[in-house]
Amino acid sequence: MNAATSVFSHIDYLVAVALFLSGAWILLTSNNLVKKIIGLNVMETSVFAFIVTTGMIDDGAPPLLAAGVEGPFASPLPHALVLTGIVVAVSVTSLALVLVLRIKAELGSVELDEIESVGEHDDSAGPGGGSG
Amino acid sequence: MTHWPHWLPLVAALPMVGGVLTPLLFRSRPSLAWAWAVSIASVTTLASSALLLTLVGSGPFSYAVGGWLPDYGIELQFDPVSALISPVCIIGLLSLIFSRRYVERSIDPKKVSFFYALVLVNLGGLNGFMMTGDLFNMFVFMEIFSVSAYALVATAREPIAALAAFKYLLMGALSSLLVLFSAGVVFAMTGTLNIADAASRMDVAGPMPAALALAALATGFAVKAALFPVHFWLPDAHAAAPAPVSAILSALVVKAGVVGMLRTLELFAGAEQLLQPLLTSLVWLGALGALGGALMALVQRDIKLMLAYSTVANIGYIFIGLGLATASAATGAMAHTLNHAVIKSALFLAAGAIIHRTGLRHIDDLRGLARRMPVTSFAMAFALVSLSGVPPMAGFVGKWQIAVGALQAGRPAVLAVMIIAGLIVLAFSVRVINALYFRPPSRISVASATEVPLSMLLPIAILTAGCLGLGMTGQPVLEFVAPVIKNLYGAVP
Amino acid sequence: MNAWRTGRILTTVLIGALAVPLMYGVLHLPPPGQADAPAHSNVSAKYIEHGAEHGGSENLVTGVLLNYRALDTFGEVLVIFTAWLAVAAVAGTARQTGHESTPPSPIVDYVIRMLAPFIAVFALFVIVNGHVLPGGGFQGGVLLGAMLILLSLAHGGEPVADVVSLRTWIWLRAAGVLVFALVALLGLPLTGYLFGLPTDPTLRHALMIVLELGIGIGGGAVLGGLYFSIAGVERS
Repeated sequence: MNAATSVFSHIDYLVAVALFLSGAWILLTSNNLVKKIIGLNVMETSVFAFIVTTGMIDDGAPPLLAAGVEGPFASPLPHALVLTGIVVAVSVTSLALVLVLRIKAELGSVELDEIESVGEHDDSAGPGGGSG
Repeated sequence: MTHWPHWLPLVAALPMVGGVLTPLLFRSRPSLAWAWAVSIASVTTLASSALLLTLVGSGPFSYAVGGWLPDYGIELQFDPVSALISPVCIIGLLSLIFSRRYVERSIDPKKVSFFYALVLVNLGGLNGFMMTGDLFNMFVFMEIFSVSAYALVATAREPIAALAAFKYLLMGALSSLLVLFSAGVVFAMTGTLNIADAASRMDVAGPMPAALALAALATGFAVKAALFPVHFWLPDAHAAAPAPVSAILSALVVKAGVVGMLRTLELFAGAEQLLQPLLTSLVWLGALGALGGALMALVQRDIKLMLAYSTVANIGYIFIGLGLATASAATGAMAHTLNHAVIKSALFLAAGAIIHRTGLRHIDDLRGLARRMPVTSFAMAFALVSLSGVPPMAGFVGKWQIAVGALQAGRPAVLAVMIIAGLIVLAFSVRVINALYFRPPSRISVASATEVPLSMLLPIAILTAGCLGLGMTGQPVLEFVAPVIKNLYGAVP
Repeated sequence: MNAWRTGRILTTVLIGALAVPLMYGVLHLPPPGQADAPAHSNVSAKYIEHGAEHGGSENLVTGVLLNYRALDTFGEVLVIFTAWLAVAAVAGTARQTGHESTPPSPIVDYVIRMLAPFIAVFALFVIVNGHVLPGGGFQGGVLLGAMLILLSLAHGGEPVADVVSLRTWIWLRAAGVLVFALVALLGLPLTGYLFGLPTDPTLRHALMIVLELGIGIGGGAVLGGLYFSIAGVERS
């Protein structure tokens, strides 16, 4: 199969993967905790886009049986998956934001390098020790 | 016997709904909240035991939720892997009983009902995760127990707990996304989300997208199970959490990652050429995790960090067993999943009792504690001996089977790694026992400590007894999980 | 600083290396949009064929959510409530957010106050019409939550959070889970299976609307609660 047409026909999937990796990069390399959460959100959105795309049909109709609508219907299953996924993403994001608020209140900063330097000077604040 | 299958979704739904009701009814009455949580957990434990008995009596069964056939709807299945639900409920119940006195000192009284609610929701999520036969349903239940776990870590009062919970959350959410992505790929390849159905259609799409789905799924569950090298979220999270939460996390939640990996192997059981590189990597990563975890545990001075790194080491053992793919190794891995859960929960609860009474966490500070807290110290010593894998204790059963499997598979290097790691575990166990029993006290709080109340002692005692009991009943457990192996690996020596 | 930089470079290299197999793998999936892909010929075809009569709604997605895969939706409602539980358990000392809500200009204030009832009605419309139009419980719940947040942004969180007592708020938030659990239990006598909906169309329609209302109100209240906790206005 011609490589160019293959890329073109799968462009939706490739863009979703590119977004996923960009979000992962932001998540892993940001110093600011809020930016890490943003990276997580970008990843989540990319996965949702990917899943919805798997259920789409070119020139098809949405999965809604109304009077007079015919033609191939898009699959309803990915829509249900993504709805659930969005709710899960909201839950995780809100918990993450509240944790950031608490970190700011207790450790004084939301920048990871400042937090770790606080941890080095403060031996009595619970477990220290080697971690990744 | 015909109505027992209805308890299958109830075993997951009951603790979850009970957890939701906890802040509604008991927000201002913490001790009633405890009683409510324990009652719900007890009913769930009884139901799960009944399900286990049904399984033993008449074999695996399934439940079509809503009455829909597996193609349309979600199918719950109860097979020997799902039978883990029963010990999960027992350990959860015992941790809840332990919590009553522990949270008096370590958690804000206004938040106690939320704490119990989160524990119950976590329990329900674990139960649901282990029994479902649908890939997306696994994701949903995984999120339920993960979100509650992140929050439970953050209920501890230390400042470090919020940061540990945040890192746990980031890694956990990343792994959940990988699982969701893989579910999407599986759907695009096969058009279904039911694990059994998808497994039978896996060859349609060809090897490349299947490899992608397998890699994403395996990586996601490896993070959840804290396999080396994606284990680094675990030590801080398990060490910073309140003691009953540490017990639940190390004993149960990481085992859910192992169960997820088992389901992954089930899903791709037909594709041997894909599974082979995965199994080989599991063996090597497991070996590195076992060795690295044991070494890191040896150099820790904080007892909870030591136990947390020991969890990483034991997860390494389990994955060595799963990756070796011989009958002996795989059954040993599954038996060790159960045994380590009992041992590690006993250890974390005992450590929690010590911290609750003395406020001390460093091993050197715990010198001479055995005289003042005899039961707790004995429990910790006993469980550490079991952890080291001394026969006939529980820790020996799984490790021995995995070692035999390593020899059968012709991998003496892996056996050597296991032996070295085992010696290191023995070393740090001896260090703790030495400090507890054979050194004079060096801290005032140790010299004036008394034993913890019965509600904390009883769970510790029961779990410690299990450390020996599971060792004696090793053979029946191994035979119990044997049928699952055939499904996972096909033709296996 | 150097360790940080090398970590960043390593991660970039790792992600770049991951890009190749990921994209390669994804290229070999059936191209999106083709009607004969396995994604459309397996379970989806059955949903489309039988969705209206057995699933109970012309909106096939609602049928999948509430009927075929009700356990997933139950888990979803539970996750959003767990998020609120988590936030309530963790956000103890988050009161030091320290921000003063700046009162908006009179125009914004007036427009928001005028819009709010319309938003609420639209949310109700979306919830109840989840069968025939794109919509449903969560979608309406998000609209309700957005209305609560909008009002809080305009007037500050306290007036909005104090509208009802915290106890009532918690009951509203739990509405989704509790209503769903009750209907799921009802499935047992009605259909012989938990989470099942009866085949009688009127009864099924009624139960689905009840479910949607529960999910919508519960979801909206939880979203409001999440905002209140983050803004530090929720009484504990």
